[in-house]
Amino acid sequence: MDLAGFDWSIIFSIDNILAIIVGSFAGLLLGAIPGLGSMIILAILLPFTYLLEPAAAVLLMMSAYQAGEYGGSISSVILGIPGTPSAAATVLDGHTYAQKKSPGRALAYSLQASLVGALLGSLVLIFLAAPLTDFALRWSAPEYFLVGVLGILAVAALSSKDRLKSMISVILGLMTATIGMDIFAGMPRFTMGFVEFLSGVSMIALIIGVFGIPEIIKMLTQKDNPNAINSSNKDNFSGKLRIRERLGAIKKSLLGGTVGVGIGIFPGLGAGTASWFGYAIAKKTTKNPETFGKGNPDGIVGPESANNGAVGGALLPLLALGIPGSPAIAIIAGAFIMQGITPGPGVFNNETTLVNSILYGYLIAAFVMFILGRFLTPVFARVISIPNMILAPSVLLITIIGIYISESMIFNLWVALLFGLIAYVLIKLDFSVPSYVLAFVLGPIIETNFRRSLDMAQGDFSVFITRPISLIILLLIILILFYPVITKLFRKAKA
Amino acid sequence: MSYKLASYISLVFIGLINIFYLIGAISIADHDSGREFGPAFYPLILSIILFILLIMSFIKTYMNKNKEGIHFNFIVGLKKVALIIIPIVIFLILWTYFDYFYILSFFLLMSLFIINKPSILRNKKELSVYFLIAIGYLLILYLFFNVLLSFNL
Repeated sequence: MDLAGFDWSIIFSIDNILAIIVGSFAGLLLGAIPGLGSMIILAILLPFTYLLEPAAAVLLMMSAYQAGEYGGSISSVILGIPGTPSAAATVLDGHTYAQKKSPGRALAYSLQASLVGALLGSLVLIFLAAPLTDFALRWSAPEYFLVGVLGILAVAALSSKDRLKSMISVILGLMTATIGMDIFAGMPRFTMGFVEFLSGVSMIALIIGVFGIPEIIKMLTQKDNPNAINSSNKDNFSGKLRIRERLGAIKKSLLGGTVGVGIGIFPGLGAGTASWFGYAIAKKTTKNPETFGKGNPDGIVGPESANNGAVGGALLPLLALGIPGSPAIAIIAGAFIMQGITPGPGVFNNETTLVNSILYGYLIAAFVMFILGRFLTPVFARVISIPNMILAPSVLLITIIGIYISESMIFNLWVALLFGLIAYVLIKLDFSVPSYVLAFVLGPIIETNFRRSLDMAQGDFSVFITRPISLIILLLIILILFYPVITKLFRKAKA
Repeated sequence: MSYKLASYISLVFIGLINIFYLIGAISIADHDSGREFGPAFYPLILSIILFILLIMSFIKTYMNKNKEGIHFNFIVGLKKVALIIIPIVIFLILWTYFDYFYILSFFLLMSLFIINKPSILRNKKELSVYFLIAIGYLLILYLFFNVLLSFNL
């Protein structure tokens, strides 16, 4: 990718810039609200992408995801509750630092680390997406099928306490994706007599339903946090970092960000895992490991740079291969699909303007996140102190409007409510909603490439093992499936 | 209800869905598609895998001693959830037939406020604060969606 040769005026179109600003603002605001998390932020924004051009739609989602990662740390620092799951590691030192010293300085560390992580992520996207796409061009249906399966199995293996229930969630997601018209034969399947299901279950209704409804119910049934730091006091947010402190933090952020990018690329790991790795590495490399957990700034910088770096890393397989490696990225893939674009090598070669707008727009989004974060963090800190009983109904109404405006059908609201209620119960029983959603989004890719592979090979299943790349992916799948058995055998052998 | 019992019920529920899915897959006229691997082929595979996983999960739940003492607060949770869901269901039914989105939304917001804090009904000052919050929020939504984005809500 040639940074100097790119026509930057495309990025600076009003639509794109507005999308980045609105996305970053929404990400910071919603990310700061405890419990909402990246997936709910993206689910709430998804219907609004209908109103935008493809580049602006994708930039809205990507900038919201990125800003949401920093937004999550606001709640971690102020309330001691992670705003997003990936900000959980930040609570340990962030909240303690804020209580002992200054919330403003804790958030300044977090914001700067998030910027460095985000910049690393976007540079990786710009420089690695094209080579990876060239590699993916050699792939065919069997490889795409197997990579899709690898992605959902990796998420299923890591995202729940109960692997079997996660696998069941995956199959249920794949089943839900079969509802609608079969694209090969043009025959309706499992529509239960509903004309509305002919084009499949609405992605927006399903995603908002399974992520949003359980969260809203949870918010309405739980009490507000009494341990919050006073966010109405402006002095609490006035702390600034000295140049020496900034430089030290940048050094740590580069390390954390690099770890985050690397982890983000692997399917199933994502920003949550990256932040814990970032925390662990920061602890290993710090001068004072004994102060970790007691308000060490490195304990803020490590996880925050890692979770933002992971966002860029996680976007790489989506943009280059067309395979989302995490549920949040699957929702961004949904934004592409709703615009009639299938992400992957095809887009990379045929829609270069769109791809460049997304890649460089994402770079700009990192700075927009920093600027908005710098000036609006005290406002967001105040928003999170709004009681749940006001916040939850307000979020509910936004989700209702979002689902309705996507296709102007009240039917989709019933679908969302039904799926949401089922999800609410199943989450309590350790089923995995992220695995379900990822399988639902990847379902059509997996089925199409599975049947295409068999058509290509005239029904010969050996097509999945006779091609070198597909064989390697298949071995990885087997490794993930039998990982618990292998580790048990190793432990027994050791004992 | 114990966690184990709730798990069994959920597995049976998913099993029933799978039976309906399997019947649906079998009833698809696969041969009419004119393809070797027709529209029923892939769903049949999914259904078989799900049955295997459900049986494995059933056995795992039965063998799991750790979860025996865990209580699944389903009935108490259900009451609270029902109180939240009922206004939403009424809202959707009324919206389908009467089409007054903002008026219905106002009642939805107020009912959710009251369900969560019944004491506001006894305090006129507090009630008027929540009344103003609902009106103000709906006004913002109206200006954004109906005026700025020209949606007909």
